[in-house]
Amino acid sequence: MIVENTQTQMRKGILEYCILSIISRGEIYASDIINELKTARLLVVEGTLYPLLTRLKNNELLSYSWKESSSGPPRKYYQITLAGQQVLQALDDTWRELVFAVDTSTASKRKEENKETNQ
Amino acid sequence: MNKTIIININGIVFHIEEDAYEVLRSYMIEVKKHFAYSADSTEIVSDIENRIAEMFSERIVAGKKEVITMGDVEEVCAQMGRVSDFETNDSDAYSYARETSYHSTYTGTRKLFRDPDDKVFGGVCAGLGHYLDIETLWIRLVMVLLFVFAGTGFLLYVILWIVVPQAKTRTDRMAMKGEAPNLQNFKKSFEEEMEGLRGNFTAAGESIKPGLTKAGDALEQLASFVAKCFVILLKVVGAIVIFGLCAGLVGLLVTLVLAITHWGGNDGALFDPDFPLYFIPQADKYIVTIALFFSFAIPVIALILLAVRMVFNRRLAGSYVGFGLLIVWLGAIGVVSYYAIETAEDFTDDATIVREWSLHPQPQYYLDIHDIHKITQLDTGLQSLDSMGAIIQSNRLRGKYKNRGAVSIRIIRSENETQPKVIREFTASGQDFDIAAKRAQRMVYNINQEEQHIIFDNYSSLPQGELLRNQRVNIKLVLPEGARVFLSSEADRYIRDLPAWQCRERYPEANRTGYTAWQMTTEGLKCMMRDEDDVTLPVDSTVTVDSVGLIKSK
Repeated sequence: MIVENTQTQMRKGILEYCILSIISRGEIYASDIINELKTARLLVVEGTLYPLLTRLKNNELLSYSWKESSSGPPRKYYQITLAGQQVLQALDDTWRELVFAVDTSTASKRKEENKETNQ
Repeated sequence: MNKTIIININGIVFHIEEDAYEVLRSYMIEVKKHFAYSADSTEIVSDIENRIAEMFSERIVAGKKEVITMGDVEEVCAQMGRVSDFETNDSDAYSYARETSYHSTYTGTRKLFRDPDDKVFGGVCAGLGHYLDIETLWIRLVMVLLFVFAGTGFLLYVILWIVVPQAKTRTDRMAMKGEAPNLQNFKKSFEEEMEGLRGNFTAAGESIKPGLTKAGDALEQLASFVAKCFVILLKVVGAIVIFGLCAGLVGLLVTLVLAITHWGGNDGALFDPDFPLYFIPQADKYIVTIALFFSFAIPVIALILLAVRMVFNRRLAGSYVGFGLLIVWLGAIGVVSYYAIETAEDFTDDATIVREWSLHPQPQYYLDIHDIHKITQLDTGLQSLDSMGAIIQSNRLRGKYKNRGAVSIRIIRSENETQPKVIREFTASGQDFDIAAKRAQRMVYNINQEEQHIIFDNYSSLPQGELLRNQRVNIKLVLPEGARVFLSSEADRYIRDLPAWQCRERYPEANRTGYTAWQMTTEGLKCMMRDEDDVTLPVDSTVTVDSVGLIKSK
């Protein structure tokens, strides 16, 4: 239970960061976001994305516009806002910090492991 | 071949197979439930719906594939993900939603339906089996056994067939089996059905015998005809029952109206409306009568409504009316039971008051039992009439209860005294001894002696407003040995332990209407022959008898 909880917490923050990064490259449709997340092996089902997108939009990090589609109903295309870009920059910094933190903490562990295996 | 349904998602029309629709619908319900606790539920749900619509329209190829099938829905749902895989932003709301959805989706209740997939006649037994979670075989066995007992099983079956609805949709069938209407169960049910269908096809292929199927068809038609006949018959019976219940209701109403209008108590009353109300205080009689009326009338009304609904499938009254009636009925029952308990408590203790009254010694007595009121007309010469006047007056007043049948007279031998006397024992009940004793004290029973004539009242009376609380009067006429008594035929009926058979042998039938002669002996009263003792019987009550002759006989 604790493991699951931590895993969800970790994935949740990272997922938001990734979505913002994907959208920051330009206007994009929800199912394309999903495809990218799927190739990144971060997301499995589409249902998870919609609540997240709605929240980001409500926090004014994203905005969307309706666009006609050739095969079906009009689609929502998401784009990043100014506030979103600022948040993304902050998140970039945080991510670098996190990578460093994780690297350092796991590196020492890895060294010990290497030592153990060497001995 | 499959039935399709036309649905509209976000302005786009889809033809979808019925089964697939049910799966999709339950999926969307789950999605809605899942997001119900987050602030943007409508937006999220409409996003998901739009996406589903888009995926559907991608799958439709005009002219080739125009209908959404079960497979499409399953794939789309898989792509969207199971609700349990979703995450919401607010972890609290999520866990709450998860908890509630897990608890509310399935509570294990089953609904009673007729099972069309496993039927012999109407699928009643199979439905009952699902409902009670028992093998259908046992239910059928019980039904057959019940059929042997005066056909109750048959009647029960027909009633259930009519009343219980058939499980038509997949949701019905799942509710019947107590399965939660969610996606897995839908799929399961669908797969089961497909397998069953395949099985049926192969089975049919093996056993197609045209003669048999024809016979089966004919049997089925006959069965449906019989069923229709029974429905008509039941409706007729139901109409008769409804008519009877309505008549009963009218009767109750008439009783109420008569009871209230004749309350004043005139001689023109059709019945004695005061009688049962003597058990409760006079001031409360309106409340109690009305409460009694409602406590009987409302169940009758409910039965009428139920019968109309069952037979003619029509609701005459809404649930508010029903609840209103229920509340009134409970209130009425409450009032009635309050008074019933109150009254019952008033019977807990008994008290007896004994009054002795010495008779003027006479060698012989004539015992008469009369309504004192009548005596005044017969014997105007009675001197003690003045003292009785008050009682006679009050006897005439309405509202004084004549306690007929609660008087018993015994004639016993005095042990050592020569003084003849009358002992009156007044007994009454009350919630405690004091109250009972006071009630006993208020009772009136009149005895009058005029020379040799002792006149007993034929009833005891209670003062106006007195409640009926098991009031009884025991009269003991104590006579010394050798005393002679002449009993009127009227008195005969009031005296207990009288060996009346003795007289039957000695008196010719024609003479029994007059007085019979008795003498007190050591063994009690003995019937005497008139001829033996040479006693001339009085022609009427004013005739005096020769006392000397009696002493001789002694």
